[in-house]
Amino acid sequence: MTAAAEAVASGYHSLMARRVMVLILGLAALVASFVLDVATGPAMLRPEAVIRSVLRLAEDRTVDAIVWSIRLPIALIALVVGASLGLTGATMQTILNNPLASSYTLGVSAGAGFGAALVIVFGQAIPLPEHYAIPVMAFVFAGLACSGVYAIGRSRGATAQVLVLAGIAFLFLFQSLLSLLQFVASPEALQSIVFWLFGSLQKATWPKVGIVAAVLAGCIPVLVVDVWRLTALRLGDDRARGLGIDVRALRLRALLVVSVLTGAAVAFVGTIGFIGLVAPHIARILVGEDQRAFLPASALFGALLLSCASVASKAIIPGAIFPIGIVTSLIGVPFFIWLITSSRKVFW
Amino acid sequence: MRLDLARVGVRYGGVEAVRDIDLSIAGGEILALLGPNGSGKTSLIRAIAGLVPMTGRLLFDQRPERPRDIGYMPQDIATQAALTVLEVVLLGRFGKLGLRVGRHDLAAVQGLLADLGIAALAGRQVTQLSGGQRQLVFLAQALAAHPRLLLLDEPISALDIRHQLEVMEMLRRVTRERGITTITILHDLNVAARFADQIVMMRAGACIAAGPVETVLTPALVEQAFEVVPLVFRAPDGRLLVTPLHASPHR
Repeated sequence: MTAAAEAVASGYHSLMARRVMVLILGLAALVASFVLDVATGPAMLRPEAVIRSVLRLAEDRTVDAIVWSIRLPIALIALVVGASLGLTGATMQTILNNPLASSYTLGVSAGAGFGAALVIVFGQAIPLPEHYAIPVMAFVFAGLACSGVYAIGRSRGATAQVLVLAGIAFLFLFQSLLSLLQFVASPEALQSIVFWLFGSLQKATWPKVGIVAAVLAGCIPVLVVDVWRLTALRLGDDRARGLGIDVRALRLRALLVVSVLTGAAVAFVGTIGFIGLVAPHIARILVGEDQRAFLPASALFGALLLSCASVASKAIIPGAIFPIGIVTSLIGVPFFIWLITSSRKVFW
Repeated sequence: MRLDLARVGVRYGGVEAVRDIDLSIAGGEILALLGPNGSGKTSLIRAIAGLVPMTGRLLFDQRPERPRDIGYMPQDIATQAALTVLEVVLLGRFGKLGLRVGRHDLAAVQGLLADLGIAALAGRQVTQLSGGQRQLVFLAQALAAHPRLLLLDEPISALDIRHQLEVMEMLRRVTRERGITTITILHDLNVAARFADQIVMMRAGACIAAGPVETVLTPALVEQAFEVVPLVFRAPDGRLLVTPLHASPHR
């Protein structure tokens, strides 16, 4: 190998090493945030007690009860939902070639919100207990919103522009339907709808964590198969097609993954905004858009952001828990503005 | 690879962008597509690449199936992708890449970067490059998969004259050595005269002349295609040179 070839190869390997380092540091921050999340609450626990309980190194019935029955499902659902939202945002920003894309852009979250509100208002007509019916209907309507966008995409060529416009149409449709439901709802139902829309991790249970984690684990391999195709798509439709990629099929396939992931993520915790938008931006600045690094980094930072928001939601007013959707926006907006105005340099 | 086109046409809605193009080109040759703006050159090259629906018949080595190893470089070199030069060029080998990029892939890409004089840019972000540098990067990408058919849409339009010369010499060498069929859209008639084996002159979607340089770059045909009166003469080394003098009085 010539000196020039070695310089190119070593440059590439050091770039990959930097990316791996970012992922390792992100993972370390995630572990710290996770431990803090489990430790924080009305009864504050010491982090080492949390670690001992999680790793089953010591037995303390009170600590174990708090950790295993209450706080671990909440802390874990923050991780899996955050990772799912980060991943969907990254995928959507890539396939729609639009930095503003997230689950909100395609009206998926609005669809889920409408599905949940439908149960809250007309719950007595649905033969399922409300705590099952709400996530099921939220998932179904998130899927319906995505299916509508998918159907329009299939018939009109699935360009980024068609999908964004179709998504915005569904966003307004479901927001209007949701407003209609709020208009006819009783004061109690209205309060429940508003609370669901705020988003909350507090109703997390082990089965819910398992479902979201299983959906996430099922979707990751589908995206992994397409990492190079998605990276190539960042160079534009024409260049990707010139490389022999079926761009239309790729977009529709990715859209399906996004629909399932978003549906599962928002079904149990409500519409949590901002994670899907901001996590990919952080990932892009830190590791670039080679999707082999970009997708895991987006998932990682999505999980980290929601985990930190979960800690903050319990720390703002000791003893009270702020709705997580409000916290993500309140903390996320200033952070995001700082991110897009100050980071002219990129790390990678 | 031998490429044969018979009555190839491209239509966008009611607009006929390309009509009845017949041409044949053998491996190891460069064919230059010339013509004024809007004459259908890009549509024709996109039809050959399989990017737009077309009528007529295309044969690749006598077979209708479009091979996978086609290198295509579009005219548009703008990009917002947060990728390095090396990654963009690696994508040219997309069908061969695994999750882990191998030494073989890196070696192939570095050879191309060195050939095009952009090895020093390998780690730079593609968005930070000048238009000319980006053109070289996307040319490297088109060449990265060792294509047998190379389709280039204005590959040197943003390059300075030294780079134009170097790139065209490199393309000629690669085309000859690997037996590639190269079809390139060019706006500089003198570059076409110097490097093309064949020229297809287009106007309003149709081919008005095709053949070796001397038979196509005649004053009458250049005037017919571009509506300028040209001076066509030979340099002391025998090379054909074309200079536009003034707009044609027959416009």
